[in-house]
Amino acid sequence: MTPARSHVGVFDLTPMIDVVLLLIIFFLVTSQFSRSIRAPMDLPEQAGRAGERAGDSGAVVVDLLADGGLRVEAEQVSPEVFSSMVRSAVRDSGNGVEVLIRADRSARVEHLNALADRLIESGVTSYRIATRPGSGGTP
Amino acid sequence: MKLAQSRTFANAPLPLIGMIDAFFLLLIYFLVSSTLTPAEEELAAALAARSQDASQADLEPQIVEVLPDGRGFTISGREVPDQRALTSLLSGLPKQAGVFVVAPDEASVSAVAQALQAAEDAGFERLTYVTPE
Repeated sequence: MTPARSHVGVFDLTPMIDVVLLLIIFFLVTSQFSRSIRAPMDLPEQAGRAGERAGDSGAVVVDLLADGGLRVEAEQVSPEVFSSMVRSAVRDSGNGVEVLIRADRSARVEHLNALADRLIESGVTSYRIATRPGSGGTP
Repeated sequence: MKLAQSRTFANAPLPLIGMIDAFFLLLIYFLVSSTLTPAEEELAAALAARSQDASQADLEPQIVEVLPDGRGFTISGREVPDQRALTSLLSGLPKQAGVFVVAPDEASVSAVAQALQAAEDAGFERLTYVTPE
């Protein structure tokens, strides 16, 4: 009777808690990194379309700077390099590529049109413009 | 003696204070850093070049043209001064064929976003951004 009871020890939770905390820290840090790739931009102030967002993992996210420069994952890229990136993304995905343009609100449409033309040439059929929910509605 | 010692360790309370300290510090860190990241929304539009738009459309879409220098918009030749007026005008128009947004090179991205948002708010499902030839 007594030896059997000695096997029923207290379940040691410490390693499990260690592993769970490490996993939590890992996922929090990696999600934070993926978000920080989106550099701060002066986006147009509009409410946007609620409940519909490009998937963070599969979408090509490009920053359109006020001077027309393009930035992908915090690195400035030439239009030619961006076109080849989009073309390879289109090739790799069977059902189209989601492109999210984070454009500076003061950028001229000239740059947006040039970018849109590049997307059309690369086989992209739609895009999304990132907005910042705010007051909006002003001309 | 040895058995008694191991039983003492097994019955000892788990030292939770250090873990709770670390946990709260992490919680505070991530709460603070996440509030610093501003929220973003999105406006979706199909893409088309002006050379291909007319031939592919079965119905006549509403064409919103953005005017340069923040002067407003035109829709079917009618000038609209701001986004609110554009939304209310678009609300009364048929929506089956969708809306085309065209913007000249001199306009700003902000004005394009206003036009897309107005069409969105007016209830249009099919939004197309048309690039000039």
